[in-house]
Amino acid sequence: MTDAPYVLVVDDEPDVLNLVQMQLEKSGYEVLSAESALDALRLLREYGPPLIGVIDVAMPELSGLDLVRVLRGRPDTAAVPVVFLSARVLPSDVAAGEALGGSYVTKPFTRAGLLRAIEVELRGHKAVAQL
Amino acid sequence: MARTAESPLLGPSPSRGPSRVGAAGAEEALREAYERERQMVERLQELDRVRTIFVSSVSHEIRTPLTSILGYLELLSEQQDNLNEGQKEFLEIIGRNSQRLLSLIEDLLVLSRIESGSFQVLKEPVDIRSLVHAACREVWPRMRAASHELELHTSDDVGSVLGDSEQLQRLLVNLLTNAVKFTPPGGRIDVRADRGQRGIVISISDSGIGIGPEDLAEIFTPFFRSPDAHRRAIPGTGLGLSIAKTIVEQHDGSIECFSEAGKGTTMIVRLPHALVIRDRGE
Repeated sequence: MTDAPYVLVVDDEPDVLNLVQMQLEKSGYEVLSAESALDALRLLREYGPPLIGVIDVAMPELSGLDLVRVLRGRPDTAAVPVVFLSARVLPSDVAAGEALGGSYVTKPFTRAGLLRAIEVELRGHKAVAQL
Repeated sequence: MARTAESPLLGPSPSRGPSRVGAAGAEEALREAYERERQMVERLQELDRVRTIFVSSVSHEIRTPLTSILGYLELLSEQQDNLNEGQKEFLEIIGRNSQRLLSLIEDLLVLSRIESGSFQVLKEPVDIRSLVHAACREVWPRMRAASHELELHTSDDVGSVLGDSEQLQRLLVNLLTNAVKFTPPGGRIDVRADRGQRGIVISISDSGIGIGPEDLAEIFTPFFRSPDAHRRAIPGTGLGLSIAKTIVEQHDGSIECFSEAGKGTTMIVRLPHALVIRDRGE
């Protein structure tokens, strides 16, 4: 499907998944979307590491936090930048996401807010890669 | 007749000084009372915990559909060219009401965290001038929509305090939002921030409908809404001022309200000197 750098979007809520995909595609990103963390892992096997992951937190089976822990444990995805996009808004939730090295955007979100977080993460990633 | 120490109703009189059996009994009763108290505190803490989890789950569950409503609304409103005036207005109404639902959920979550004691003030330097300006900027679209005039004055030496910038901004936004809501269109709102002898004083005055003496005592009570607000259909959750008061108290400050029906309202927030960060060379 794609060899271009893609954004991996993971959300168990189909309406939200579709919304994020449309918002990002409108901004020129190539998007692959997954309805669960397990689905996301299948996509990773098939298409390799994404440019960045936009990942929901509260999902059945494997949570977004668990998924990122898996990514961090694999050499090819350890450094993938991540933006958590979550309806969990307590400071402890935000801290848990940030502890895994991701930005944290709360739902409801605006396209501008999500794009800002993605750009910040991508810039940070580039800066680290150049060290 | 001499009163006997023993009566059929009261039973034997206590002996002078507790007997060994009496002391052990008292100790046992005390232990039981203590145990009952401990169990009650535990039950209340458990209830509090369950309520916080409940509110936080409700917040999550309501935010999820709101994400879709507001998100697709954002996409739709970018296609304004295809919409007629009536449709644009309907979209605006949906947006406004979704935002209102979001405010309610946010207020409930903040209040539940405050009440369960899990709300913690993050102490970091907060520049008062930037804080006041940011809060005014946030409320400005609503001020402009109501054709209010804003007079903003922050004295040059107002400086910074140690506090939680997000919570302090929420406090000011809550107070400014009230000023906007309770002032008929074309009113005036004055915002001042000064450094006084005992700390920082922020005042927000409006030329609005004011508050009668019978309501003035209640305005910081959670969910209190004045009959006047109901009658005029002014939207609100009745949580804004109780949240404001709690935020001020978490910063060891105080909040006061001066108002008279028909003559506007002034809210005064004082943040204590202990929080004020001294400028270099002071």
